Amino acid sequence: MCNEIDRCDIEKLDKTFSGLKLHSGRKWPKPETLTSIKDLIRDGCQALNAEEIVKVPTFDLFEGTHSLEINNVKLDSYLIRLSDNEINFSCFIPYDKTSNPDCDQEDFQYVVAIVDRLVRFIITWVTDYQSLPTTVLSCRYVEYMLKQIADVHGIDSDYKFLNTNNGYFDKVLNSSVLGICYFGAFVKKLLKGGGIFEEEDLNFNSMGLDGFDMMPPTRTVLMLLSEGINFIQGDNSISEIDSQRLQYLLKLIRCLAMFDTYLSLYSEDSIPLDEALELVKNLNDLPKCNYTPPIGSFSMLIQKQLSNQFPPKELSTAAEDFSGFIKLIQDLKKVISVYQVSSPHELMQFATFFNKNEQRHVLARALFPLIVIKDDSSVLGKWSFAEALQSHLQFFSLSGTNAERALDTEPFRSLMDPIAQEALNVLFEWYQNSSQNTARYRQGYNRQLLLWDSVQAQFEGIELKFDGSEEDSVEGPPGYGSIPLMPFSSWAFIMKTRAMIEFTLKGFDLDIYKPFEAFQMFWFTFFLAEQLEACLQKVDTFLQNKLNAIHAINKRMKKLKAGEKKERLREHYRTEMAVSYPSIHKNKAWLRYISTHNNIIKSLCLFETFQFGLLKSYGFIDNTASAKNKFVNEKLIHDLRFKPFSSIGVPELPSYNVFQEALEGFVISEPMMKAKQEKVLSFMDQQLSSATSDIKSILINIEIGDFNSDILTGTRLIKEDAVLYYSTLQKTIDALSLNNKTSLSIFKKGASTDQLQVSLKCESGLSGYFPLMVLNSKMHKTDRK
Amino acid sequence: MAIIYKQLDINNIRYFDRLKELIDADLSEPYSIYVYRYFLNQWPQLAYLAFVDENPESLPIGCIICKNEIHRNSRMRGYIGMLAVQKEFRGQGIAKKLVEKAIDTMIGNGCDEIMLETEVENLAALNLYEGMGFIRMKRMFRYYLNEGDAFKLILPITERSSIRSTFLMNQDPIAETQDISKLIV
Repeated sequence: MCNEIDRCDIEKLDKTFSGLKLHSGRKWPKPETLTSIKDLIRDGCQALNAEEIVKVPTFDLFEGTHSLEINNVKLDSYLIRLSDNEINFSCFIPYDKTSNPDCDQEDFQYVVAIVDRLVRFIITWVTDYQSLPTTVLSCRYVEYMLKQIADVHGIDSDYKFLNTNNGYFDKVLNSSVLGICYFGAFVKKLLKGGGIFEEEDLNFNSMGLDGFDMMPPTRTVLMLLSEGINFIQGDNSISEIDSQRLQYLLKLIRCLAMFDTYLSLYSEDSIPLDEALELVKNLNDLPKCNYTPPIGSFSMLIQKQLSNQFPPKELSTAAEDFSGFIKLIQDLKKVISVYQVSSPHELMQFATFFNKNEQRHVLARALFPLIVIKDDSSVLGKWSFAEALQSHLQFFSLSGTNAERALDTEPFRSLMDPIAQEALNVLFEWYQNSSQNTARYRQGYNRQLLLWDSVQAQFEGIELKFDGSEEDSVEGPPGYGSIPLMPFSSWAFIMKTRAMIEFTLKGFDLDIYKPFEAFQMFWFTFFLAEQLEACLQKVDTFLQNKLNAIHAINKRMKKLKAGEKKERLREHYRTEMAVSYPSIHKNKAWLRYISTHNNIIKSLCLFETFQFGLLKSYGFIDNTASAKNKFVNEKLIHDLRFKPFSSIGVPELPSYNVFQEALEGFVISEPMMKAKQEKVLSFMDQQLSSATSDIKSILINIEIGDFNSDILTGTRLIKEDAVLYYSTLQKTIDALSLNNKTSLSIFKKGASTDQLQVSLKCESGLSGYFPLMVLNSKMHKTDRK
Repeated sequence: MAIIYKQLDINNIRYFDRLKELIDADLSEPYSIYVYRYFLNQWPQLAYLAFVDENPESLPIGCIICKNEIHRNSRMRGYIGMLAVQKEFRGQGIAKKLVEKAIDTMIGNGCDEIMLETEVENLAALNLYEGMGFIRMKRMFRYYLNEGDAFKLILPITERSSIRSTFLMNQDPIAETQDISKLIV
């Protein structure tokens, strides 16, 4: 250790220790009464075997794996080497060449440099995923400010902590650093909200500084920043460009400080965001700042001196310019636009698309669930939790049913309440999951599968016993008789099946599956889409029957002679036409959207399974692991892959053998191979045409909007994202078609299966859910986006 | 060159130091002494070393470090914690042999599955493990200190591997997905 630690440090320590005094009143044993245990310990250690560890029996060695290690340069922050300038840096003096011979810049130049770097460090921290201590917290002024904030907590303070008798430091820098700390506190609140994960989404290692939890009121921060701006405006001695830069920076910090209102006040006001966007553009238009901060003002010192539970890390490089703020601001704007939703299906669609095409900024993802599911037990402040759940149910399957009316009666209500609470929790989990990072998003669906399955089973238990359920039914196919609608469990089933489909296809996007697994995953998704289609059709038939019943009133009315009875029927008809008819029509239009979307998924999955079948027919791929090793067991591998679905009640997971048999149905062989191939190709084309037609239909209806349209897309507030999603699917269809033609030409040439293999290719700009099965050289590595 | 494979002799401190050196040389993740002690002291029989000869003075040129234990009271899970082969000796199948030996021992210990994590960009590791029947179960966002994503890979050994822990023992399904260790292979 002595080799590593500075000798002077040890001397300092020795000096400190020698200065320590025992309490005068304490009796200390006389040296002659003490026994040295040094030899005892040394002998004991020598007698230890290498495998033995001295520890209390209750200590779990696993706990130790999180420890750092003294004298290990990779893990011991005490070994960080600092320059004298870093060690001796002072926040109590102004840095200015006119008053300090060691300085080579003017005071304002130093302040510009510090604030400019700090603001760019914010981007590095929250946008480029770097840690807090290697960015913002590496600034000595930030560390100092946070300590001061903690010290004055609860005491009346003016929060003017830099007292150097220099206006640029005491007013401009002081307020800038305070504003940045305030923004840091906002980020901490977002992180604590639980929507994102510490470390993988955002680092908030505050090095034990409590100041982030003890911030002054917003108005104090804004007032000090305004004072700082006034000070700059009042100084005519600095150049126009420096004055402008500093003012832009302070105004940007003022906007950042106001972001807190999106959480603390649930503000819907986008003005601070618009202003911030303008300021970022202004800052980017200025020439790059060439001033340098005072030497030692940004340092690893904090990692060495404060409570550090992480390995030492070099300071990050600050972002080149301010562009990183643009995504943050635009994504926050998108998130707060969710307040404009007017119905649950619009909210669902907002959640579905806002983080779908690309991962939104981490702070926007963190804010989304916190404003949707608010602390005041409301959804967006618009609906109570119970109202929100009921609206969701009504939009899918509950509307116009006996079950809906029975919700106001006992014992149905009391029986339903606890399950509804569970259903609400899963629904909220669905909302939270929509803003997760791309990998967590899939895991979230994995977790939801069991929860939706449980909710569905519980709903079923109650609905089957419900007296009025026989009227909530539809006529099944010939021979099936009447099929119960069971609106509650049908809703849970729809949510569950959609979750299963999303979980499965997202695996392609995350590069989870190997090419040999492609058939089983696409065929299974196709199977799920069919199950979902059947349920949607059932609900749609029920709604159509309701519409027919309303029309029938009119016919009945026409047959009646004028009189009281006819008038009563006429009134009933009017009410039904005014209230029920539009509502049912709307529900049908929403179901039509869900069905159309599902048809696209179904068609593309079917295309992919046929594609696999063709490739297998020519011997380029098989559904078995390419590995030939004693540990490989095909069935176990298959079963492990389908483990998330193994316990789902409905739809029941097909057995391993069913998957094998299904694949055989997609493989063609002689005789009449060519004719069979033509038939397959024609069928594949039909799938792509059908998907294209469905996409077109959805895109038209997104454009038209939801007013009086046949397909209710609910995408009014998330139009751009929804259009991009479906347009990307269309581009993918084009690419799938082209790739299939390429494969066919390779088949025609009689290419050798020894030389070519199939890889799953996800090209940029195409949907990762439907990769291309590309034939390429066996040496070619999988090309991922 | 005939490579000799041996189980770790935990009392040989030279081997212990050499293992650290081998692992530290290549992996971005810094491991403390406690991480090594955690594995090697509790599962020394699951650490294999590769030598170029039988000379007792020789130091290992490759190693694998593993553990196995009951996972969520439901199944015996083997775990490959670290694997490294000295640069000059790569491409000779040493890593594969080390993995096979470790897996054989873990199977002998009654493991239902073998698990590990590896960097998404580490194609060599992915090829090695997927060539032995491991499949990618999930992706983990920015999992490592170098900010790279990771895949969690599992090799199923028995049918218990494909049953959710919840149904092997009555347990909270949410806990299953929060199972994270930060070791690299």
